[in-house]
Amino acid sequence: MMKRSFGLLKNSVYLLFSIALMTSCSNHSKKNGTGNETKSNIPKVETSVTDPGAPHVYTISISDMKFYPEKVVVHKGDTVKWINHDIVAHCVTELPDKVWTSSEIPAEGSWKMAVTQSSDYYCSIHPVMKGKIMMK
Amino acid sequence: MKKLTNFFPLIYLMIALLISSSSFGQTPKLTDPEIASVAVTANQIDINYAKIAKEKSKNADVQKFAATMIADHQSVIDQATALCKKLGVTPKDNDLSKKLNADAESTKKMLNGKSGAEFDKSYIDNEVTAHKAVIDTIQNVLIPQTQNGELKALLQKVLPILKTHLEHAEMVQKTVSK
Repeated sequence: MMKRSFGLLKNSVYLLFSIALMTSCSNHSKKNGTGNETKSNIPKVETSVTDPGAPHVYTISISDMKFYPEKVVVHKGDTVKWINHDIVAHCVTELPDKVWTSSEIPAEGSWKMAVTQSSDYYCSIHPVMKGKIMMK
Repeated sequence: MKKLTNFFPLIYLMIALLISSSSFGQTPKLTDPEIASVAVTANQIDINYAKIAKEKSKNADVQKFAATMIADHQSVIDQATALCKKLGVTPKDNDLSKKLNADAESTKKMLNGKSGAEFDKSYIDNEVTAHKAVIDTIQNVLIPQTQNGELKALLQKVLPILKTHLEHAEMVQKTVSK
């Protein structure tokens, strides 16, 4: 009798320990899930979110003959950087007066500019490719 | 899971049947070295047309379009040549690449026989037609038959370039046909 109840007690301890272990595991994975979610919410184009007053660098990817994103909203003094991921050369040129231009950006090359005004722009090599910079 | 794996041979068989039945159609059956040859040939033909335009046209929009064609199609040839070298593939002549070259010879003769606004219109009209045909061939003949993943990826990367060229050609077409 004594031996049997000891056995029961031992089993209960195992059971409790298992539940405790499972709970701690699921809590742990929950925390990780939340962490990942927060990370993916950070806007891709901004490199700094800690100091809202500091100039930002916005990256525009040139890929499959398009500007991504096609439109960026920036503040005066922010920098816009274009990276060419295509296998052909591109350029970025202000529309309609060609006030500024990057000249040729070779494949895998990049070019950056400090923004002083809102502009429409295009690739003069492929004039159907267009983008927009809005300055607040 | 075990039950599911028992079905795998059946699924493979069905996929194999689907692939073999599609090859009974009109489309030419090409190997990767032949596909590489078709790709390089088509790009070279467009460079050759553009070189004639650079020489003959006095229209600034046509000149700019031709310069873009030379630069972009050369970049594609360079990429394809580098990939063939990496894969140890030698582009192989075939019925489709021979037909492309034969058609290009008569188009070149036609273009060389024209001048002024008539040349500009003929050159741009041909660019619109040729780019439509090449986009269709890459999408429906070359990409589905390409075995090597890197060659397939390169063809997929070329498609948006050709579509941009087509839009650009259609834009210039509106100005030269006025």
